[in-house]
Amino acid sequence: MSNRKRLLKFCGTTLIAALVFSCIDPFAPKINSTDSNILVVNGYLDASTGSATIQLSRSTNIADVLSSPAELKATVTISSSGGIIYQFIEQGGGDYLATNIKIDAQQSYTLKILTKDGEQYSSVAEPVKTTPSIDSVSWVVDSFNSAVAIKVNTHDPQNNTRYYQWDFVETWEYQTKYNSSYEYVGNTIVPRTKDISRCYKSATNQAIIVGSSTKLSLDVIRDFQINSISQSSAKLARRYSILVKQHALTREAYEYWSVLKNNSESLGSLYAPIPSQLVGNISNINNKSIPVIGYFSIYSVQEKRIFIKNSQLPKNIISQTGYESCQSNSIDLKDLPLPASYLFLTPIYVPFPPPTIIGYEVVNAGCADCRLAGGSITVPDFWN
Amino acid sequence: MVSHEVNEKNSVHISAYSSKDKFKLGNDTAYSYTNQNASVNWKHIFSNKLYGVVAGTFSSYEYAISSDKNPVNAFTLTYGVKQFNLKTDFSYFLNPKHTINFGAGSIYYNLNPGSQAPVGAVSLTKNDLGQKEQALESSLYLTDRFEVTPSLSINYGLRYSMYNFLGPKDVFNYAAGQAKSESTIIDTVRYSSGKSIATYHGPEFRFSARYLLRHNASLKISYNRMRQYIQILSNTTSISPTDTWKLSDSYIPPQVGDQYSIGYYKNLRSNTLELSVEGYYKTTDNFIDYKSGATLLLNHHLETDVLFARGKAYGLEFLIKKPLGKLNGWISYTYSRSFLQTQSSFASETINNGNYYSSNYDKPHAINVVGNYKFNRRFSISINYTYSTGRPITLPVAKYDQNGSSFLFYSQRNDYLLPDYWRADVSLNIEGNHKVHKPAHGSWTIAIYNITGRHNAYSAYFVAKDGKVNGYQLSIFGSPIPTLTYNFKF
Repeated sequence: MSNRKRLLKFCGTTLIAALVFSCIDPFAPKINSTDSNILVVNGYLDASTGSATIQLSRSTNIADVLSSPAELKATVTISSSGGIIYQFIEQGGGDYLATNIKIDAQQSYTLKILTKDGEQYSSVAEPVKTTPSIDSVSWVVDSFNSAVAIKVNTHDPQNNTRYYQWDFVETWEYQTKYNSSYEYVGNTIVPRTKDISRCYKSATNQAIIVGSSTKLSLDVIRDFQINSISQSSAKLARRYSILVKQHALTREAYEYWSVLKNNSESLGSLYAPIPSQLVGNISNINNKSIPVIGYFSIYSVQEKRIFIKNSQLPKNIISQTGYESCQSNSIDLKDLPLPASYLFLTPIYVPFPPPTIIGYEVVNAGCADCRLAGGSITVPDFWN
Repeated sequence: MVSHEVNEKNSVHISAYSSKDKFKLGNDTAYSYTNQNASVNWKHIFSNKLYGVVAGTFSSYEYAISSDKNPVNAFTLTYGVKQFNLKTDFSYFLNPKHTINFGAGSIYYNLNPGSQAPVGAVSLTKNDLGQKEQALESSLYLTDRFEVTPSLSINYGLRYSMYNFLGPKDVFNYAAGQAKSESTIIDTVRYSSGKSIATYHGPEFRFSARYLLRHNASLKISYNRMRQYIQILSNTTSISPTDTWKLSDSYIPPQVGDQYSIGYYKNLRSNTLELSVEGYYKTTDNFIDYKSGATLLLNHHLETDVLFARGKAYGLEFLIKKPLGKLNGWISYTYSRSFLQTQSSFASETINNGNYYSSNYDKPHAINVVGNYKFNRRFSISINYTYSTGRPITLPVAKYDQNGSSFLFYSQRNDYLLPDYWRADVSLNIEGNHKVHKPAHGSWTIAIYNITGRHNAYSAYFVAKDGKVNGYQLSIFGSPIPTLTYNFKF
């Protein structure tokens, strides 16, 4: 034992206090102004009509509230692989229109832009994508989300399309709680000739909607949800209509729109994707380092419209009209004229003959004039 | 930690360590980190020319993110990596000129790439268990330290490593000749437990030489090849720290790096001042970077979102060190750059048009200052100052409207920088009295981390509100953090 050494050592550390705070501060990085001023190209060549509307605008600094300013006085052309060049005509507001373009599905088409600052841009030569027709647009009650879901079905018997994009225009009828029967014409109160209680309002999709059938052995899109309307929405209070527009995409275009959709939908969250410059199919011819935003495609468009009447919905769905809190008041003749923010409903008569008007039922204008909620009293031509 | 000398020829050394840290982000999201390490070493002396060490180590790092702000969305996300390492190293003193080291080892990796679970009875969060990953890395090595002359010594060797990515795992197959994406998955292959899914192997050469110059100066050069089978995945745009790991698999090859370095060292004033200049150049293959729009969290097909970059990095470090005296410490300045480049025939797998771009680690200027001052035997004070250029970041640089919606346009990858990082820490060390026969010897350390409370940006993120996009930066240790530590030995 004597020649054996034994050694035992211990050491320890204790951390007594470690309170950690995180903080969030505004961050306003200085961005080069040339990085913020980028040409934005939006539009497509419609293969069914042979016409193309291209919108040109400029991007703005992210801290600006301004919307993109239009890019004016550009020269825009489309050239076919067969060598024909079609000129666009400037429509104002950054819109450029070309019509009577001869579409040949065997050819490719290239968009070219010369901006007023002398920069030249060109898309890659894009093929023509023919879109199969929409088989059906359907709606179902989505009770889990207290919504009505709009779904689309389509297929390509040739199994050639695979990548799809949808846009929609939804239109709904709505009615104010009160009906204004009288109005001022000059200083005189006369019966109203136009009904301003029933309006029609439209909206387009805000999100990018793309889908693909590449995981399936057949080119089939089954019950693909393209819109969801909250059950309490005023859109469902009377009659609702949605026009679904479908078009085919190339694989590259599908990737572009999917990434753009991803990048813009989960900004700032825990799951925020890693963004980077999204490159479309348009580039600056002389200087590849000048970015340009946009993706030019050629496709035909297929459409289908459906209607949903409030009476078709299950009875437990109660849609809000937005006019629930409206209340009418009365006003004596002596207190006239009526302030502009009010409208006349009906006259108030003395309770005995002869009929003599002593005042009016009145209401806040927003409760009787549907146009103040953004709609139009013109009945859309597709409505009946 | 326990060391035990069994006899003259055998000694055993056991250590264990465990720590847990927690912090909250805002009022609702909690982060916790757990670190555990344990090791057993057995050293056996065969003769006065040969000894060997057998070591078994276990290490585990886990973290969890949880939020209960919204009871319906309440969730917890957990990640973890465990490593079991068994190795044996031998040192053989062949003759006074040659010392030979050789050995073999295996590391078993067990990785949880992320699992999400609901918290509370009303949470509708889906259970999402990421498939566990496991792999075995085995290696053999041999190096020789050769004292060529009294002033020249060289060290050269070879390590050969073999890596097996193992089942159980379901692996997706992708259509050939197309960029991997969810839409090009053609089928799934199920591998049973322990079955080898992918194998990689290759040599790693090492060489270094040290030449003693006159006047207390020396020159060192070295070359190293490294093969790395586990890579960190770091999402720099996410609001919070959510680094995860990825083992090399059928689609993710190991990272291979070659580093060349040269250094000049000189001691002045009878070794009380040490000066050095070191330069390096490093190339890396198969460095993981991410496609535009990649998601890393709970991604069951990460291969569709990553791409492989070629890296090059170089740097020059200047150091002045005063190792001794009442006032001691060191000052260093490093200039370094780090770039990546992607090459692919698919546009979606190319970053910044295939040009070189800054990696996340490209912080050209770094300064470190460490100063210690000893007042007397019981009191000493330390000051630590760190500065570095802010990390590269990809920013939204423009906003545009299209079909009635607003979109952001991002800069080229890593084209901008976060604000510069700097931090000062101070600590005061108080030793107990020095009675020789005390059963335990203790000391207190009172330290303040980030004494100026600087809000160093960990990340920056952007939120769209009312047609405007506002930027925010998150600082994790954005206030002075006092700590009190008691150390004891017996």
